[in-house]
Amino acid sequence: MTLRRLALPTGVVALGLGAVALVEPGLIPLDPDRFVVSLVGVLALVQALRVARSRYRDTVDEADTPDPERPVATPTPGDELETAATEFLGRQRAFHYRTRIEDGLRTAARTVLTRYGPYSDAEARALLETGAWTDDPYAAGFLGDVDAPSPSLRSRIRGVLGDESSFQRSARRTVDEIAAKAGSTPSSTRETAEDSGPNEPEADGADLTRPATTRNCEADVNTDGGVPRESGVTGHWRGVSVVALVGIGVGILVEQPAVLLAAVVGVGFAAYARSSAFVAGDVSIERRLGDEEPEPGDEVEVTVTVSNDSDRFLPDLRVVDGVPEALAVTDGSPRCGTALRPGASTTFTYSITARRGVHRFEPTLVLARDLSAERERELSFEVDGSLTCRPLLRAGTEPLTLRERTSQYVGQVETSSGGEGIEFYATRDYQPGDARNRIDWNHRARTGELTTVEFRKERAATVVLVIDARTAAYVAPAPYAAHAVDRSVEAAGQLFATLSDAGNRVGIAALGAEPCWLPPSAGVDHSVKARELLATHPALSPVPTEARSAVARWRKRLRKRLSPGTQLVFLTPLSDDYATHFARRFDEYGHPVTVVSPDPTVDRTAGHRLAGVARTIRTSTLRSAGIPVIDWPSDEPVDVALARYDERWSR
Amino acid sequence: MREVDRSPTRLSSGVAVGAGFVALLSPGLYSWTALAVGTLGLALLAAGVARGARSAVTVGALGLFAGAIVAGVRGAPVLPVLFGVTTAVLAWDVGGNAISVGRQLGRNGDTTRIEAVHAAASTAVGVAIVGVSYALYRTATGGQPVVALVLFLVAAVLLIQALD
Repeated sequence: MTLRRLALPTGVVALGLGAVALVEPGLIPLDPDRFVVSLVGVLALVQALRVARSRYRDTVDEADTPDPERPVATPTPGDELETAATEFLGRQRAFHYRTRIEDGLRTAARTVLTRYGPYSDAEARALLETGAWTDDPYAAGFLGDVDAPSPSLRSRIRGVLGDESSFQRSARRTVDEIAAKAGSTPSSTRETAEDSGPNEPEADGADLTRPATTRNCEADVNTDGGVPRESGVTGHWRGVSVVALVGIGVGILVEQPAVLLAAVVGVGFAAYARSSAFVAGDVSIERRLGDEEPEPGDEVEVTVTVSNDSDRFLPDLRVVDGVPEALAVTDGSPRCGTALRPGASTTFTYSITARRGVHRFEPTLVLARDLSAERERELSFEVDGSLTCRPLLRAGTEPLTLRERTSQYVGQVETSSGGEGIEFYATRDYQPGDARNRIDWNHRARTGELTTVEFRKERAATVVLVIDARTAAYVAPAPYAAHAVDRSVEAAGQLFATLSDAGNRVGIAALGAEPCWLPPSAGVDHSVKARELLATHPALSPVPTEARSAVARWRKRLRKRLSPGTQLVFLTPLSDDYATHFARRFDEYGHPVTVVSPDPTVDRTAGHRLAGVARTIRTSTLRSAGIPVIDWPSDEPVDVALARYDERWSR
Repeated sequence: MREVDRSPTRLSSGVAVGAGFVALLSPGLYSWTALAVGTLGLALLAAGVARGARSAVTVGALGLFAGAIVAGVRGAPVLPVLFGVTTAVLAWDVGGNAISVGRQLGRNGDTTRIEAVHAAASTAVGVAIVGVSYALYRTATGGQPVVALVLFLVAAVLLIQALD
């Protein structure tokens, strides 16, 4: 460091002496010989090497830009085998990674064997210990004790050649066996998983293990009105002095003016990089939306105008617009690079596809550089703007079969008592006081007896649609596919319309980050409110919010709000045990629960398959507790799932 | 959904490779060694610009620069060497900018203007430098004392060190 500090004054002195020597050669009594001159050349070359090394070490340091084109990715249950396995363990936790997976899988296997097989818990334990529960030697050996069968030496040696570790292979095959016992794995996908070789597990979606609440975005600090961030040196020109130093060094050593002059080029560019005084002038950003309240699926054109409000030329502006987190860019690009003269402006457009919800635009990122690109400054502009998309509540073709429990209002649920209604129910003997138009006059003409016709009494149900919108419910079969919360909301809208049309009193509640409650009611105003709530309520936001939900307290409040006999339709992906717990609790409280469950599980990897098994177990737990579960696969509309359920139910 | 294409932008990449060609040919016509070294450099530069590898661009440009120096050592005239060195630096600068714009904005956005402005500015600086150095060469034709020259060079090395 002291060397560097000395370099400047010494250099200036040398420059001055040189000037003097140029004018009055006699004043400088030095007569540099060949050796001294060469020494200067060698020193220059050594210095060139040092500069080159420093360029090699510190490469260019420039700002990163986010990927606003992509919506936030949603995780899939079981992206990590470990998480999927430990879920079976409940509270208990093992310290070692392998032990955790082993214990988790053992519990899973025991649960599956006792639930889907004819075994008691003790029998299942014994079967697991001896390895007799499966034909697969890997799975048997993995969960069994030392005497359990294990894979043959030959297949183990063959396994060494694969990319998969023996632990991974055993874990994967154990999961497959468990899944087969639970009957939840379609064989076709399992075969492809096996075929694609041993390196397949955990490769898929491994980078999506973190709950993707924010984008890969380091520039998303919310600042208002273009607050300048520290301007920094990008290092774009770092190392250009090598040209100068090599020119001087080689030029001196070989005594060629052409080479020596090359040094001037290096000095010139180094000076250029250093010279440009950097001002990130006043920039303003304006955004216009083609439609602020589009229908779902509509393409909305976004036009962004960038203006230079300063009186200086801005040679390098790199603009990345803050596309709302949940929306995908379908056409054009939300990025633009432009140079603006004072007062000039430029526009660029891109299209986004609307989805349900309120979508606020994120801050716009502007990277301003000087002409030589040596300096860079990050600016973040908060440009107000949001897009609200309210889907219409359309009744589906399939009615939802509610459970038998009714309120005093006329409505959909068919009761097994006769009275006033439309559908014929029974005839009975005339009793004094029966209305004259209810007497079966045909019967009277034939037999002379007075009988009264009774119709089936139809009573309304009071139904509350409860949407599971906890962070755990933001799961989807693929990173950018519709997640369970979106599908639940969509289904809730349809069910709301169907149930209200049938004369029921319908309310909406959500289990999520914020309290969300629409008391059961009927009428046009009510359905307008429901539509607004489903589209815009913060608890049902299209991307998970950071806020932690106080679910337990909320559950108590919901219970107080429900009038006796109110039915619940619980829309949940059943991605954790809390969902089952919730459904059973309310069922026990005397509120009949029907679960509609969008299925977020896939069978890409062992972890995903295990998460699928866990969900299957939850489903059957609920069913055995008498709670109907309508399983809704991700590739069909909810009507199909309802129809399938209805068919089974009426049989 | 559109994927983000973060590979180096086309315009700057093209300009960089074009500058690299000039940097290869103008001194390369005077020396076979220079041509060989420069060709290697150009190949690396082109690969770096195509793949978005900054170090390849840097090393490639260094190869082109080395080619020009070799030609100079072998006695090539001043102008072609000056030209070679300047265009090698230009290729490095514009290639690096192609990668930078590609990383930050990608190929989908409209980036023509910043690329054009950056390349034009650097070219103008390069032309000015070549002009000044050639003028320097023409005016300072011997006669000046060696002491002065050596002191100037020492000063140059020290000042570069101080500024870098």
